[in-house]
Amino acid sequence: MANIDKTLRKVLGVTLFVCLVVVWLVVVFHTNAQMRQGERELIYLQARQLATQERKQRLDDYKKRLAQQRRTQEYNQQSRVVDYNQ
Amino acid sequence: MKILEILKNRTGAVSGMRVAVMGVMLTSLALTVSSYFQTPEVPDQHEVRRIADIINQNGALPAEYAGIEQSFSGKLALASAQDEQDFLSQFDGGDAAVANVEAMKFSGRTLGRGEVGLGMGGNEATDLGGGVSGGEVNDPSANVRGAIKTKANGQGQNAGTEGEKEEGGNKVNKLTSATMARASGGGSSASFGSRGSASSSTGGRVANGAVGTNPVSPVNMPDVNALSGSMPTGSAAFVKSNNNFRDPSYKPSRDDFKAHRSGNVQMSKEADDLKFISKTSAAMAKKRFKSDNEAVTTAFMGARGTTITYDDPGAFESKSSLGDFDEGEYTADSVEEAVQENTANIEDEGTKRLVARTHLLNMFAALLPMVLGAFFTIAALVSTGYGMAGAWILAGTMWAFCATLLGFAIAYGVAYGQQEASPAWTFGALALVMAGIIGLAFVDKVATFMTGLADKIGGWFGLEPGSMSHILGMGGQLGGIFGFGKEVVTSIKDGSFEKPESEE
Repeated sequence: MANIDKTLRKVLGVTLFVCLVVVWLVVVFHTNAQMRQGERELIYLQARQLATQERKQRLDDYKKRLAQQRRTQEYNQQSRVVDYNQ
Repeated sequence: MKILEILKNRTGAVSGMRVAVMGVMLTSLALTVSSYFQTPEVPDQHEVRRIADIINQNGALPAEYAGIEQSFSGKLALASAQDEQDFLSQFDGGDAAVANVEAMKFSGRTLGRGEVGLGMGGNEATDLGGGVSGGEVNDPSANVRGAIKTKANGQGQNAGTEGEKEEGGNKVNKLTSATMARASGGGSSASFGSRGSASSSTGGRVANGAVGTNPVSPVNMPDVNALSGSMPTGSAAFVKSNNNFRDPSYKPSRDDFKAHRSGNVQMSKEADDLKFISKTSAAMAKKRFKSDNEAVTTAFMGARGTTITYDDPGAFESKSSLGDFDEGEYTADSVEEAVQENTANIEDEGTKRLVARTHLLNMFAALLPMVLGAFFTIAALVSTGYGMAGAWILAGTMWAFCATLLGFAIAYGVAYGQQEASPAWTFGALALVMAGIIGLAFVDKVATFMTGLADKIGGWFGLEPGSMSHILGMGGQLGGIFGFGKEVVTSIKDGSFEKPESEE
């Protein structure tokens, strides 16, 4: 009987310990996975932000270029008018 | 009984196990707590650059980011906007709102992911390419597609050429802006009009979305070279026709709007009316003209989105009104009012969720006196001679009860759809269970300590040893049960845990 008790004690102890280790591992892996996912999300968000900023920059540059062209064109037209009148 | 006997006569093996339990549990608890407060590390900027390049090139994101893109498609538009005006100001000038990394907080732990999303119009031709050209656009959308294709060929100055042909000689040139919004299962969200958000990966879900539109600058046309995106059925396209689009300085006016069918959404500006087809009560949409010559439409999304129909000249009827938008006619002003109302509804819903979360927290907190009460009862049993076996039985019963209640609370949280909250609840539950196991491992020590404590307190009042333990035990358990029940009743009364209409 004493041996059975002893065996049961061991089984109980080992089982509980293994369960705890498993739980612990799950927690660790889950936490790490969450962190990795969070990092990827941040990367994505920053990349999206960066891409959008660059598009905006291109748009601004283009607008500036157009405005400059328009001014140049207007200036040339005025110049032609002046030349024509002369 | 054999196991109880073993436990009762614990020896070195069990004591060793206790040490192991303690170590593992404390480590787990530390991890649990730290994980909740921990924030991701600053991401690798090279990786950010790489992903940004892919986005710029209209390329497909790596699989791990594609999933994120989908999940964030409704949240980016939130950006860092503090309020609507702030949001609109970001939208000004035809640029998509720059997503702020703060959106992560906004969409995640603060409000719960996607609780309230803002949809906004895509404004760049790239958005259109993805959003409209995918083939879901029906008949009149040929114009849309044509225009976009033309643009996609880099011939911005000739945009609309194909559209003209397909429209049978209608010489209306078109600038097109389209976006879509979608709602993820757990909450509401809206996309901003990015190419990615309109990608086929969100196919079908866009049916729940609503849209916004904004004039497109031809400057972006050459950027459109990927037409592989799709606009799933039910998503929305807003078409902007603009006879003067060739003039880059031209700012489209309200009259430039023209209806085109795209899934659920039609929008036109041939009549000064709006037609709403509301899919859910939580959804709302808003149209706003910022000035006479500039039109901006933003769509504020609910859980399942709203579509706006801006339909035929003079025609103004509501095909369906399934949500808070009552059936009837709307003018631009009345639309505004309806939107305001629905905005309030969504805000209410957000508040409701926060209240629900508070209830859950309170339920959680109510378990603590219950646990303490259990220990005092154990202490009383020990001190009055019932022995550790009885104490263990009682402790086990109590913990089973607590676990049931906890599962009840978690189930509520999960059923309620707070995806972001559920991991926290899981961790919290895990922590409590762990604490319980630790407590059980030291139950006799705890019981002895509590017996002494209770007897000492009881001695002040002249009570017999063990009496105070019983009083505290019963009081704690009853108090915990009462607190938990009260929270349940209150939450049921105020409807905090009712499933949002949008998810029904």
